[in-house]
Amino acid sequence: MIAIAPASKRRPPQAPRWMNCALGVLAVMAGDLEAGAQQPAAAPTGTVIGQVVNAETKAPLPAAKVVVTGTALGDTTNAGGRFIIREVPVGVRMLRVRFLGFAPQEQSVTVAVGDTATVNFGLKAVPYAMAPVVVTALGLERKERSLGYAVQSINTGTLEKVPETTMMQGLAGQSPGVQVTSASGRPGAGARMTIRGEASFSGSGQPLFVIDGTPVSTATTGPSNALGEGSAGSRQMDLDMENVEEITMLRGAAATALYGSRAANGAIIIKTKQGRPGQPLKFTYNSELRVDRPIIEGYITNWAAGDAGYFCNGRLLSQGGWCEPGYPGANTATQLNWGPNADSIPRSVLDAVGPLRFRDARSDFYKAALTSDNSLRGSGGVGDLGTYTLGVSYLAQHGVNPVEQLNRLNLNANVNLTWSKWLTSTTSIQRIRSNNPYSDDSFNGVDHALINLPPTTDIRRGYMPDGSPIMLGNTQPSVQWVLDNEHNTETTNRWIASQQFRLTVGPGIYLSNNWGIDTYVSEYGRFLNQRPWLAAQNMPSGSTRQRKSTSTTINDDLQLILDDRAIGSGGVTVSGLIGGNLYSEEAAFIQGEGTGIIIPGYYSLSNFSSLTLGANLPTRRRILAAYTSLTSSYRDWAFLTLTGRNDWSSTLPTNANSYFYPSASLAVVFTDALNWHPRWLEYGKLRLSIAKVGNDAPAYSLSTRYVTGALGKGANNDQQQFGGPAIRFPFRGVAGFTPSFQLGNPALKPEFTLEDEVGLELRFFDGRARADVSVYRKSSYDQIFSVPSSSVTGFTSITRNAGDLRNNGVELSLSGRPLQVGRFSWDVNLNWAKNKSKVLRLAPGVTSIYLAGYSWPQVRIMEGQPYGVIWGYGWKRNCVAKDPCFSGVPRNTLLIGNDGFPIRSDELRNLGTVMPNWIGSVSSEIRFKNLGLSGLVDVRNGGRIINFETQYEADNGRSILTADRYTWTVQPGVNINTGQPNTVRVFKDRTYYRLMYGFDRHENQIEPAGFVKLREVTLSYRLPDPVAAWMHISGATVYVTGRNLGVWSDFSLGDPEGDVYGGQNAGGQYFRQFNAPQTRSFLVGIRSSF
Amino acid sequence: MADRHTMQRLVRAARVLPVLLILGVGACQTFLDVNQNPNAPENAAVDVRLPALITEFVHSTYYGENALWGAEWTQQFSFNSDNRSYSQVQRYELSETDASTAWDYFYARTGNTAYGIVRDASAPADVHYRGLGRMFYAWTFQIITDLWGPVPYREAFHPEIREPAYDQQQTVYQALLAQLDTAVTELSSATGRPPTGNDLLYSGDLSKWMKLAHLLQGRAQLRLAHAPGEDSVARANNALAALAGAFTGNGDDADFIYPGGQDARNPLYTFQELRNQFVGSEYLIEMLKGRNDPRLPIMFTPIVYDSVRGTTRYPATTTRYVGHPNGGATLPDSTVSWIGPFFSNENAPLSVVSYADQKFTEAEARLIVSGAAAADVPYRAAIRANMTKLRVDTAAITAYLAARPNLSAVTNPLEEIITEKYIANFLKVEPWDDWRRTGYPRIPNPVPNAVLPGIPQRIRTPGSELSNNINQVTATGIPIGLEGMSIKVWWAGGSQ
Repeated sequence: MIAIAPASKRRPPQAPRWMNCALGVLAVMAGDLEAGAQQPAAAPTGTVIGQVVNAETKAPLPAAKVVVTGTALGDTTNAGGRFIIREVPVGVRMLRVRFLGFAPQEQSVTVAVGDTATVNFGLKAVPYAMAPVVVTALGLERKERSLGYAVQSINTGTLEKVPETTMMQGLAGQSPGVQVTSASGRPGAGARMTIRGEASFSGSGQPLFVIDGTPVSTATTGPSNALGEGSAGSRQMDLDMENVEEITMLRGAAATALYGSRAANGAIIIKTKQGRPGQPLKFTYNSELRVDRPIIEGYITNWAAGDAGYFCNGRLLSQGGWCEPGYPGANTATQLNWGPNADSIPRSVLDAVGPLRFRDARSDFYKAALTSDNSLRGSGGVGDLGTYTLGVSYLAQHGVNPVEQLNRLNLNANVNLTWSKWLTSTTSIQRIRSNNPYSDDSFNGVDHALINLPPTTDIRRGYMPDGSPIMLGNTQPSVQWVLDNEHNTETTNRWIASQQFRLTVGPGIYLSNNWGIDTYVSEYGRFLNQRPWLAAQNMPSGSTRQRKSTSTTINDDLQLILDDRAIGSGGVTVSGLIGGNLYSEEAAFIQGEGTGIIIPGYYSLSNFSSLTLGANLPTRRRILAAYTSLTSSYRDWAFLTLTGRNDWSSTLPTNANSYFYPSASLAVVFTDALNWHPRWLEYGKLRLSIAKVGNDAPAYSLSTRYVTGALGKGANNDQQQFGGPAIRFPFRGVAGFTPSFQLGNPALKPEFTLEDEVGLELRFFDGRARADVSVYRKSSYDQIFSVPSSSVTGFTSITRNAGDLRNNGVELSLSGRPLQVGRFSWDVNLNWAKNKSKVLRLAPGVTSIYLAGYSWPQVRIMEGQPYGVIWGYGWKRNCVAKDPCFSGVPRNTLLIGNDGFPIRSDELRNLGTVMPNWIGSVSSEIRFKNLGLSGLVDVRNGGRIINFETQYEADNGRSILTADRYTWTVQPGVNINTGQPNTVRVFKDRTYYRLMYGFDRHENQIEPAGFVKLREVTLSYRLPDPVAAWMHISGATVYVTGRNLGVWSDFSLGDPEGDVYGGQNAGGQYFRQFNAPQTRSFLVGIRSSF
Repeated sequence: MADRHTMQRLVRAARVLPVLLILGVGACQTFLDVNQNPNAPENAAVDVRLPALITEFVHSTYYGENALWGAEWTQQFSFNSDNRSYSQVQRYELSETDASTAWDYFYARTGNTAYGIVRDASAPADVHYRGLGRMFYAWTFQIITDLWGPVPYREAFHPEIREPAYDQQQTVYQALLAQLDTAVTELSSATGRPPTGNDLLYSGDLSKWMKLAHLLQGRAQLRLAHAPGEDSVARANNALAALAGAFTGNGDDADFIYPGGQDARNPLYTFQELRNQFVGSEYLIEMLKGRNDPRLPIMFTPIVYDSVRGTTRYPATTTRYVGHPNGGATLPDSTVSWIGPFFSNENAPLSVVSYADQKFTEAEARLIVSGAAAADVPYRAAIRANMTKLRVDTAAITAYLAARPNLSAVTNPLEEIITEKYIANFLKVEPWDDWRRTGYPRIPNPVPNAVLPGIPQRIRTPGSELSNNINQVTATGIPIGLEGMSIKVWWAGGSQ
C-alpha cells in the first residue's frame, strides 16, 4: 500500500482534534489500528462501531467521515471501512456519513452506558460527485472544493468512448472553451487546440501538454509548405489515449500560473495509468476495429467533361483523345466540366464512346480504410513494495487514401515504489515509434487532382497498356501514377520518461523531485519519382527531401511541499509549497534535398543531379524558475491560494532576464459558509481569481543576424505561383551573408497575460446534477512579436513588445442525471462557451498582421477588430468606402454594372471575422442494466471561412455552385450608374461563374464556418458477471461506435473543419484549400480484463 | 510535540531552500547563456557580404520581377495562359502585394546590404569595398525611383525613424549622381585591397568596375535629358563625358555567370521552365521578321507544330516563328514560339550591362548634342556589338547593317535608335524606361481588356507602405490605387 495518500484523505474530520487524527490517519495508513487518543470520560457514554460499504458492490469504503450529529464526535473509516466512536453520550443519536462520490446517509442509534452499538451503512454512489482530488498545475493534487479557478477532468471512462486515435482530436467537445480543429481525416493529421480564444500574435498559441509532470512536444517536425504541399502531422500523434488514466484541462491563467510561460495558452495535464496497491496482477486487453469512409461533398456529378457544352473524353490525342465535333478548343485532354448534361448526351457522343459513367473521381479513389488498435496492459501491486503497470499498444491505421497510414507502437511502464516509510518513487517510461506515410495535401495534393476531374473521367485505370501513365491534361499524370510514385513519410522514435522521488521530511512535509525528458528523432522523407513524359523532353524531374530532426526537452521540478495543517484552533489551515524548475529545450535538423533524379525510383541523395544540404545546429532555450504556492483555508469552506513564480529565461537580455508573476484565487463554499443546505443544493462554491502569466521571447530575437541561404526568386519572386529559380549560398564556391530582414531588439521585455475569472460551481440533488459557470477577462499585452515595419528602415519587421489583445468569455458546463429508475439511468452533459476577442492595439503605425493565406485573400489580425478577419476584394456596395452612394438606397446594397454583374471593389476589404460566435457540445449516455448508449454532438456557431478552391472549381465547372448552370438570373442590387434596381438578366455559363466566384471575387469565396457534428455514438454492452466468470475473465464490454455520423453545415463542401497548415497557424484553420477529406467511421471494440 | 518538531524541520528546510535556489540561480547564469544563434552570425566581414550584394542586385533587383513587368508591358514576351497573376499583369493590373514584394526586397535586402557595406567598410584598406557598396547603393536607388518616382532616400535605413519621409525623384537623382561620383573616387583609390574571388562579376578587376560606374553615370544623366526643368543638351554632354570613361568593347560587359542546377539557375530559366506560359510576343516577333533580323532564331524558338485545328494536325515545321498577341486568348503552347535557350538556359550568362547598351546611350546623347549623322556611328556600333554578343555571323551582321538606313536619312532617328535598343535590351527593364521617356517603340497600347488607359507609367504604392507608412505615402499626393500607375514619373515628364 502506498504510504502517501492524497491530501484530502489525510485531512482530519474535526479541526480541534487535527493532531491526533493526523497521526491517527498516518497510523492507519501504516496498517496500524492502535492509534487513538485516550481522553477522560466526563458523562455516561457508550461506543458506536460499524462499517461503511458501497451499497452496490459491498466493497468497504475507507476514509468516509462518520459523525454524531450535533456533537463534535466522529471518526474516519479505516481501510476495511470500519469506524469506532467512543464516549458517545447515551441516548438516541443520529449518525451521519459523508463520503465523496456517494449520497450522504443518516441513521439513528441508541447508545447505552458502556455498551457498544453497531450501525452499518451502505452508501449509494452519485453520478456527479466531487472528485476527492484533482490534478492541477505541476501535477499537484488538490481538493476540488479548494480551487479558485475552473478545471475540467476527463477520466478513463470518458476517454475510452472517444473513437479518435490521436490526442487532440480526442479532446474535441470535452471541455467548454476548448476548440479543436482537426486538419483532416488523414491518419496522424495535425490539429489545432484553442483555449479561451487565440491570445498570441505570433506564437504557436497551443496549450502545453504535460505527461506525468514532463512537458511534451506537440510541434510539427516535418518541413511544411502549407499552401503548396500541406503540412506534416504534429507530434501529438505519438500520444496514446489508451495509456491515459486522467486528463485535466487547465484553461485560465490562475490555473496555469505555476507553469509560467510555457502554459500561457492553457495546459493539458495527462496522468498515465498506474497499478492499484495490493491488487494482484490484472490484465486488460482492449481491441478495436474501425472502418473509415471519406466525407466528400460539394462537387458536380451530373455534367460531362468538355467545354462550351461539347463533350471531350479527357485524354491526350496520343492516348485516344476525342472531342465531340464542333468543340471549339484544341485540347482533347481538357478536364473542364462544361460538357453536356448526363440527361442529354448527344447521340454522336454515345455512338463514338459508348454510354458515359458519371461518378465523383473521389468515390473511386478513396477506399474504405481499416484501422486496428490493440492494447494489452498488466498491472498490479506487490504488497507494501509498490505498484506496477506495463502496457503495449499497437495502432495500425489506414487512410482512405491508400498511401496514408499511421502505425504506432507504444510501450509504457509505470512503477511506484515504496523504498521506506519516508521515500517513494514513481517511474514512468514511454517508448513510442510512429510511422506516418502520407500524400501531399493542398495544391500538390491528390485531393486537388481528384476534385479537378469531371465525373466522366474514369480514374480506375491509371496506365496505358504499354505501362505509361494515362495523362489527364498535358502535364497531369493519372492519380494512380501519383499514388505509385509520390509520397511523404515520417518516422519518429521517441522516449518520454519521468522519475519522481518523494521524501517525507516530517509529518505532512515532503521533498519531491520530478525529472523528465521528452526526446525524439524524426525522419522525414519526400519522394517524388521521375516523370517519364518530362524526361522524354529532357526536362529534369524527380526530387527528394530527406530530413532528420531531433528534439529534446528536459524538465526538472524540485519542491518542498507542506500538507494542509491547522493554525491555532480557529479552523484555519495552511498548506503550500516552494519549488524550483529547470527547463531546457533543444532542437536541430539536418536535411538534404535533391532534384533531377537519375535512376528512377532510387532515392539515395547521390542519385540526384543537384543536391542541396542544409542543417541547423542545435538551437536552445532554457528557463530557470522559482515558485511558491500558499493555500489557506478557513473551516474548510473558504480557500485562498496565492502563487508567485519568477522565471529567468535564456531568451531575454542577460541583465533583464528575470520576471515575476503572481496569482491569487479564492474559493468560497457558500453553502457551508452560510450553513445553507436546502435539499436541492448539495454544494455551492464561488470562485474568484486573478493571475498574471509571463512569457519570454523566442530564442535569438535580441540581435540582428546575418543570414545566408536562399535569395529571392530572381525574375520571379512570386513563389506561390511559379517557383522561379532561387540562389543559395555558397554560390559558385563563394559564401554570402546578408543582414536579416528582421531587426533584433536588445531591449525586449517579457510579455504578459493578465486574466481574471469569476466562477460558480453548484451540485444539486445529492450529486444528481452539477453546474459550473466561468466568466473571464483576459488581456494579453506587451506581446513579443515581429512588428512589421516600413522596409525603408532596412528591415521588414522589428521584434518588439507591442500590442494589446483582449479576450472576454463565458463558459458553462452542466451535467445531470435527469432520470434514474432502478438500473436505468440517463445522463446529459452540456458544454458551452462564448469568447469575444478584440485587438485593441497592434504597434504604432501598424494596422494589420498577416496570419494565413495569400496576398489576397488572407486571414489577418487587424486593429480594432476581433482576432482573425478575412481580407480580400469585396463587391462594390452602396456608400461603402469610396464606392458610389445613392440616397434612398440602403447602405451595403450591391452595386451592379450595366452588364448585370456586381463589380469588384477597388481596394481590399475586411470581409468578416473567422472566429465562431460560440462553441458547445452535448453528450449523453443512457444506461440500462448492462447496456449503454452514448453520444457526443459538437457545435460551432458562426464565423467565416475562405473556401479558396471555389475560385478554381467554379471556373472549371466542378463546384456544386455551378449546379444551376445555364439558367438566367438577375443580381439583386442597384445599377452603379443610376441607382435604380438592377433588371439586367445574366446567363449562368462559365463566364458567369468566373465573374462571380473567380480569381479575385473573394467575397463569394467566403462561406459560413459553423457546423453541428455528431462526433460519436456508442452502443456498449457489459457482459453479465456470470458470463464473465464462465469465461474466466473478470469483465468485458463490447461496443460499436459510429464516428462523425452526421455533419450539418452551410459550408458548400459539407464539413468546414480542415486545415492545410496542420494546426500550426491560428488563421490557417479558416483558410480552406484542397484539404484532404475528413472521414466517417464505424468501429467495433472490446474492453476486457482478466 | 510532533507539530513543533515538524515546524522546526520545516523552518530548517525552508531556511536552506532559498539559499540553495539563489546559489543555484547564480551558478546557472552559464546555464542560461545559450542565446547565441549557432546558425546565423551576429557579424560578417564585408568580404562575405559583397558576393551577396552583387547576387541580390543582379538576380533579384535588376532582374527582379519588375524586369518581367516592364518586359511584358513593352511586349518583349507574352503570357500565354488565362492563369492568374501574369495574365493580370498583362492587363496592367498589379496588386499592392506585388508592389510590396519588389519594394521590400529592394530596400530591406539589396539597399540595406549595400548601406551596411558602405557603413562598415570604413577602414582605409576597405575603400574599394566602400566604393562598390556605394555604387550598388546608388544603382539600387535609381531602380527604385525609376519604378516609383518619389521614394524615401534621406530617411532610409534609419530603423529609429518609423515613418520615413519621401523625397522627390529629382532629389533622389541628384543624390545618387553624387554617390556615383564618390564611388568613382573611392574605386580609383590607389591604396586599399581590391576584392578577389568574392567579386562575382569582375573577379576583382577594379578598372572594369570603374568603367561600369562611368556607364551608370552616363545612363543616369541621359535619363534626365527630357525631365521638366532640365537642360537636355547639358545632360547629354554630361552623359557623353561620363561614357568616355566607360566600356570599350563587349569584353567589358557585365555578365553574371550561372553554373545551373538547383538554386544556381539563371532567373530567366523561368522562361524555359514555364514555356507553356511565358512565350514570344507577336509584336516583337513580327517586328524582327519585318526587319529580317538575324537575331530572331536566337531570341525565339520555332514552333513545335501547328497543333490541332479542328481535327487536322500539322507536322512540325522548323521555319515558323509565331508570337502570342499580348492580352490575347490562350493558344496551345506548341503553336507559339518560346524564348530561345540563349537567354533562358539555366546556365546562360545574364547580361547586366552591355557595351551595346552604352553605345545606344551614346547615340541618343550624340543625337541631342550633334545631330543624326553623328549618332549613326555609335548606333551602328551598338547593333554590331549586340549581334556579336548574340553570336550572329559576321556576314549576317554586315547585311543587316547595310539594310539599315543612315540615321540622317530617316525622318525620326530617335525612334530608330530606341527601337534597335529595344531589340538589343531583350528581357530587360530598360526598354520600359526608354518607352516612358520617348514613347518608342510604338507598342500596341493598350492591350485588349486592359484595366488602365495605357501602358503603366510607374508601379503602384506597395501594400507594405500602406500598412506601415501610410502618413508619408499620403503626403506624396500620388493616388495609392491602381490609378497611380498612370501618372508619369518626373524624368518622363511628370511632376514628381
